[in-house]
Amino acid sequence: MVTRLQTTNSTLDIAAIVANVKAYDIIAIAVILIIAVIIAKIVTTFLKKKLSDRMEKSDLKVVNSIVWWSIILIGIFFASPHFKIDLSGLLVAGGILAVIIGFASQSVVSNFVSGIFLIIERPMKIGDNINIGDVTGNVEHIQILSTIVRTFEGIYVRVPNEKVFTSNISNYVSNVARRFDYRIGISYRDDANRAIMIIRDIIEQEPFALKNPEPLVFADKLGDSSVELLIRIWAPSKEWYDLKMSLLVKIKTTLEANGIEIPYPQQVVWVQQSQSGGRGRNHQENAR
Amino acid sequence: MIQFTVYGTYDYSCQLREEEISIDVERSARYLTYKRTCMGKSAERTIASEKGSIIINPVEPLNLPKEVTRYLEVHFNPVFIEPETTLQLYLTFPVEIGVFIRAKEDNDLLDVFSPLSPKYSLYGPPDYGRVTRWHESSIYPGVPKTDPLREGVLDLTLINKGKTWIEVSRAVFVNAGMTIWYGDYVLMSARMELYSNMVAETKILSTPGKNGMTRSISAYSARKVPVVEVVPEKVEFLMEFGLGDTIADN
Repeated sequence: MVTRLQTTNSTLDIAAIVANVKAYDIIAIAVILIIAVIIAKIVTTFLKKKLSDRMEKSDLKVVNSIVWWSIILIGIFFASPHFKIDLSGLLVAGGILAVIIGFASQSVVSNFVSGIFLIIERPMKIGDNINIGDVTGNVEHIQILSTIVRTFEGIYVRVPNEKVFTSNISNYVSNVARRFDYRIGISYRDDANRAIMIIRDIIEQEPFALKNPEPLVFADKLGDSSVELLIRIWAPSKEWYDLKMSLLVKIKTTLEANGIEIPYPQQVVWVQQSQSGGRGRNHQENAR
Repeated sequence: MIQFTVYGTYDYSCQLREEEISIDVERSARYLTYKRTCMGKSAERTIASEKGSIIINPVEPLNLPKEVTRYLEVHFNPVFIEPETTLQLYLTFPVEIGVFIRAKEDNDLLDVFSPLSPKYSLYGPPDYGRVTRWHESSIYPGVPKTDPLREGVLDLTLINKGKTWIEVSRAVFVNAGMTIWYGDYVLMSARMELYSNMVAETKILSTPGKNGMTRSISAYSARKVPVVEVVPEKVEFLMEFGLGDTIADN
């Protein structure tokens, strides 16, 4: 009985609303909604063109759907005065609902917005070798809510976009070239200038040790056990690691082949003998 | 000129020897075996083909030890050019030897090698500069003597379009299928328009070589990277990081 009454009331309300709506209002609603659809179409097409090479298709579809319905809802909002409906009750209910949804989906929205900004800013791209916080590896996917990283050990790591966006990102291959350093100690007995020339020759023979910026080899420190040579080499970012791994062995073997010693840590120990044990001083050179 | 016999078109029974290079194609019952040695390094490929040809010609020096860039940088002694003046000079550029297989009117790159040891450099800053294949050349008023296995002749026209003297000691070219010709020597033509000491525009020309020269198949084109055929003269490179030596920022 109660249900029947409510249904009758709703029918009456709708009838009253329809009776209030005039031809002008219907035209206005139609025009506003058509404009909203056109704007939504233009915006989503623009997004497709601009983001199709930056985003995965599934993510782009989600973004486009959200944008589409947001614009349509805005259109309905602008058209609502022509419906002659009192929206005050709806606004209160909608406000409460918005607060609840807002709290519930806070992190989702945060990740979503961060994902949008990451796509626009593009601090990294798929395949890049990066570090985000304590995660280091290659970027596998940049999705709308998270970024997938494959660590060097082959482990799948999902990093929420909010964390990516608020963390320091080190992209090791973003620049076309990068530098790496070696520090090599040679014996005090050996000729440092000769060692520098030998190292320069080895670097010159390496195709990916860049000619410019010029590689630097110089005596950087007179250490406890050795003269420390600092070697600075620039390489294409995609080749630097292979070069770094192979070149050090070449330098070591070539230096040794040329009679230049890479010494162990050494310490000179002076022993003061007591009078009973004899006069004078002996010294011992201990090498470990 | 050095008489050179390696470049050309051969059938599947070719055996070539040239100083430190040897190329052999051997036929067995079911397939062909391509073998090459150069400076002690060797390569071998198996080919499934009944009838076709092997084409050996100089290619862009941007493939070894592996392809990391599309830019070639030629460095030379500084040249000072008067405002609104044109100067034609000859430089050298490195070449790599490309071996192509051709059958049913389709070419494919079989092998690339070179007796030269390549060297790479950076043109511009590390963040947005260009990695380049680096080559040092002398300047010649006429066509210099070169070893076509190692170097080609770069016919470079420098045009000072500015109102001031310009000093230039490097030219950077982008590879979009460099037009290289070979005959008695290897030839490539290029043009460089200078606007200031910092900015110039370069392009490789497809100007035909001398009579009797043959146009090389480009390794870039043979890889079939572009869907549409690229006209080299329409691909320009804007040198915006200077035309002279830069101080390295270590």
